[in-house]
Amino acid sequence: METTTSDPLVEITFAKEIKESINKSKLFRFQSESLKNKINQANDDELLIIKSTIDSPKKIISVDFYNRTFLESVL
Amino acid sequence: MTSTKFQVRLFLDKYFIYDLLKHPKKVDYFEKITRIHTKSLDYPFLHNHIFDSDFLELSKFKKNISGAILGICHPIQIPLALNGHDEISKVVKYCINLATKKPYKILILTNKEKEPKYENNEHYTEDESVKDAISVVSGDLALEMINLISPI
Repeated sequence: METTTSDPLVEITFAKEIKESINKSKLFRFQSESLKNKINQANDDELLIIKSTIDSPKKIISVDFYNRTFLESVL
Repeated sequence: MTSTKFQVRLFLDKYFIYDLLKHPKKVDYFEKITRIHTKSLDYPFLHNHIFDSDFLELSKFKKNISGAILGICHPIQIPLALNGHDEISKVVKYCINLATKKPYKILILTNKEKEPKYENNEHYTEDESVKDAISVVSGDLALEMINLISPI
């Protein structure tokens, strides 16, 4: 499968980890402020699906919860 | 976020996941395998492996499924040294290498059709120590093993 620079990069992480990364790194940017709020309001032990793109890997374009509701919607 | 020291690592092939996607309790099992993969004390988010070629095929099979699969296993680029081997040998030889690292036990999850192909593979049968370190399971037994590893 060929990839393009606009293909999504998908990462699964605990909210605690991404919160720490955002606090310590100035590299992160967000498609909208609501995405940053969504991460900050998540419980530390919740799993999040963070999407960015290959050409802009630290610009977060979507945040979803990896939970039963998500699994039921995609499986 | 309590981490757990699991006694076995999982290698999932696409055939196991295709089977699992047909199971009525697939969401329950995805949650259990996610728990193993993400809460591993030794290899958080790297505990369970899948070859990236299988992951890419599965990603095209169903929209948005890639996120769900990334929660249960980590896609691994097939080592160049395995070029020229058939798909079953690639998995067996890769798992032999994986079994040299703690916890030194690997469970290959596959389907009923592929299970005997693994068990009869020349690299799997060449040495008893390989069978001691690597088990191959499919179907209900695979699900029972997941229940045992992640009982919650």
